Amino acid sequence: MSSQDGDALAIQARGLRKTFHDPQRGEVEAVRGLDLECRHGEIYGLLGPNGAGKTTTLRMLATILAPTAGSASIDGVDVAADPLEVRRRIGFLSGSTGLYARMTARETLRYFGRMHGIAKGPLEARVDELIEAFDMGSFAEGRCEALSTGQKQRVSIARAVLHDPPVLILDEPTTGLDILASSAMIDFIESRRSAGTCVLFSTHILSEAERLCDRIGVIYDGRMLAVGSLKELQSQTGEEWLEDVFKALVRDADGAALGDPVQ
Amino acid sequence: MRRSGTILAVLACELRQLVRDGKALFAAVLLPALLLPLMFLGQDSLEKLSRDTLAAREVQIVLDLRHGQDAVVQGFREKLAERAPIVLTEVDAGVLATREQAGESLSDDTVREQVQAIFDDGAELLVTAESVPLGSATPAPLGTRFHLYYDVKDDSGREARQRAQECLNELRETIELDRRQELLGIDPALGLSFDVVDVASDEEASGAALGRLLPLFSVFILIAAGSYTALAAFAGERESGTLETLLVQPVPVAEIAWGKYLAVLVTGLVALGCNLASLQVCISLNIGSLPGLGDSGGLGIGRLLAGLVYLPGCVLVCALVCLVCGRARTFREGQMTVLPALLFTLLPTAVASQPELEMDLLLAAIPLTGPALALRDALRGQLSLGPVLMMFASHAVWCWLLLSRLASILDAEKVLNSGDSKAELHQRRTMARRAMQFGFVSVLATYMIGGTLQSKSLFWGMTVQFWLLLPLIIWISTRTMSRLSSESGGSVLGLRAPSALHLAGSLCLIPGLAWLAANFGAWQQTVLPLPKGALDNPALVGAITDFSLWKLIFLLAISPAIWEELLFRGAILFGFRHDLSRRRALLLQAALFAAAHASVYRLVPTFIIGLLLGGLRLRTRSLLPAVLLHAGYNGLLVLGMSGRVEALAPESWPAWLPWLGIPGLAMLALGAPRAPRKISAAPQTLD
Repeated sequence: MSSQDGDALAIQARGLRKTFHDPQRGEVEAVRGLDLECRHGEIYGLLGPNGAGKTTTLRMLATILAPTAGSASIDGVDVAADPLEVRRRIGFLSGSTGLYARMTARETLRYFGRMHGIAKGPLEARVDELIEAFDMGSFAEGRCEALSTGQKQRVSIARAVLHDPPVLILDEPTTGLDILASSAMIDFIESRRSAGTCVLFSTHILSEAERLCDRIGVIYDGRMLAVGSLKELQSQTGEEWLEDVFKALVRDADGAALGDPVQ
Repeated sequence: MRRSGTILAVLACELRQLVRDGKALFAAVLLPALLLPLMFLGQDSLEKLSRDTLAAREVQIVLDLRHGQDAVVQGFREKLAERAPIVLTEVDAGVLATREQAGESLSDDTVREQVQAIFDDGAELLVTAESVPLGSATPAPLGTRFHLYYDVKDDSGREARQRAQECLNELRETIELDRRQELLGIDPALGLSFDVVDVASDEEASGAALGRLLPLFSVFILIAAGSYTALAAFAGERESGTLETLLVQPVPVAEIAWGKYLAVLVTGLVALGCNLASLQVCISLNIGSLPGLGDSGGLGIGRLLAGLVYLPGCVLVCALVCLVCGRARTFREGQMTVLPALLFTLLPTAVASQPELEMDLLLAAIPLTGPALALRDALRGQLSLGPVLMMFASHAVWCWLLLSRLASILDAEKVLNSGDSKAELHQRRTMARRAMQFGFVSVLATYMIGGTLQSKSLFWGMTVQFWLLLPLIIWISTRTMSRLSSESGGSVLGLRAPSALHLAGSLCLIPGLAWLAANFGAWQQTVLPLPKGALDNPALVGAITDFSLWKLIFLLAISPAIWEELLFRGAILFGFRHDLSRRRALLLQAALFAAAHASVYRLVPTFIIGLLLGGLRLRTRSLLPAVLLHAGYNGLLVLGMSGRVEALAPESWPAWLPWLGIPGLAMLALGAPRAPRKISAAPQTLD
């Protein structure tokens, strides 16, 4: 993996580690020394089964959780040193993201615009622009509780890109969506490539990763097992299908046969 | 400037959502205000209605006055005739009317039977009369004794009795007056007369009445309205999945928490304003009668200004509501905490309604007690500057302490603690809920069943409570916890051997703890004096001093130590611990333990001891040290402090004895600490 000095990487993580204290189970190591690098304009998929540490990793990169050890930076800004600046540079969205039921789409966008410190005039213009771009004109004035899943999804995406962030971090963005809404989400991710945005997203759906990603990182048991394009992973393991690639990697990591870790 | 911008944006967002939640707004803020006049009006008109209808009701009175003195009986008949509407009927009351003359005394059952037979014909009151000799001279002059038989369950019967009794009282006065005039001419009682003048103006008197009422009223309203907003702003945000979004905004979480807190404060104050306005309407329209408020009981501008001294109390209550409700992960979990929070805030507030309590510098500094006393004194017009300044200064510190904790409510580490699946989480929440329910059941059972039985027989009441009631609750709760956690009953209750060092350590704590409790009791007596007479209540103290030594030890030391520990430090703490952090689990079980002791005076000591025993159970991973400490501590207090056993009284202790606690604590700290188990968050792999 190459690191270009001077021109900062969109996302860089070194030896990232996260330990939780769980009241029942004691210390739980969710992420154990993880390295990650994403370039601008790259779509990077984090692939792994439930409980592999994907969400924890993304939350650490998004400054929601503080790493127990290791370092990470977004667009050259260290997550521990200046979390607020990092948050200005990322758009974050997860599959479980909700909306305020009793606010309208326009109010929601306005609210998060104010959080980003956008002045009133430019904010109104930006909100209008997003409503236009995501085709929300017909429901922008209705309360979010009355919207369909697809409409809610569009509001959430518009909210995440409101401040035009150079980096998008999406945690299982298609979880809980129907076919139409999830294909709209995939189209959106694809459209970011041409805009020069770095998209880091996690998924456990293999077809999504195959279709979208420039590079795939396979994460398992809190560790990164392998990183590369689909082709590189195929040649590394000698398997053709991503599913088999994944199984082979996990098998190597465990050093023993394992049934089927992927649902 | 940016800072206030974020806070205001959050505040506006929260308030906008609240206002749009019509149902909640109505229920939390407006409905209480509307119900207030209705309540007064309803109560008043009900009272009036029942008075009127009863007064207008025709009552049936049957008389058998054959054996009374003629003059008196005649007078009575006249008085009754003046009091319409009464239907008078003459009967033969048989043995009831002639019992004195017949020289027999009747059993209660016979009386009941006889009267019932007469009442079956529709009568509501039976009056009989007999002649009785006055004094011991022979022959003594004869007087008349009336017997009034009625049924207290019957409204008409009570009314008839009251009318007849009034007639008899009037008659007696008339007879007395006549006789006095006959003997003395002018009434000698006229030589002495007096009248009573209240120098407090109506204004001040009603102010004092309001001062007792308003602090409690305010706490109720603030918590009812504030907790709704707090639940929506914190738990609601978690439930709807918007919290994560909020946490990646480029603003400090403290500012978000502050915005939410202000929303709670605003809602609380608006609700308080609405309800005070409603109260004012009730007073000025003379709807209902508030106790002691008189005619000029209004809230006026002056009183509203006086109310400003309670502002620190409002700020503090709302901060508490935020901290308590804010930690809940769901609405449901949050609702569990509202009642304990209410009880917790009512206690220091209620102190202000004690009339003899003077506001001094110490009381002014106690959270919520200070503002409540200040409000009381301000409404009476007797506010003194020193304590008020102390109250403001100390409450600035309290508020700062609480509010600085606000940001931690939104601490992502705790909020987003990942690594457990939803099903597991659901199950664990079920256990904490169950633990809370069992806690409430045992508190209520102690109050209602235990209390009632103990008032009949202290020994048997306590025996039943400890050896029947509590074991039953323990058995059910242990089974429930065991089923939910699939652990054995023994490990639910912590029935395993502790290390010897831990056991010795907890024994060493006993004298120190008893010594602290005795000193705390002495100090509390100066702040919150026991009501006079409580100490020499003959029923209680008599019963206890009557007990033999062994009975005392059995009832007050051994029984509570075994059963209370099994319940509170066993099943309940186990349930809480499965869902909550160590600190919250300890606090909640200690609060339930304190509540179960049903005494304001023992609330603080039992709470602290509950914390300590809970900590001991978690530290040693066994229930036995807690049982021993509890039994030893109770035993020492019962025997030594009550003066039953001279040798055990604290005055005769060697001076070093309480200090044994320090090596005790050291033993507990050093003895075999168990390393936390490391478990991988990933699926188990085959090695």
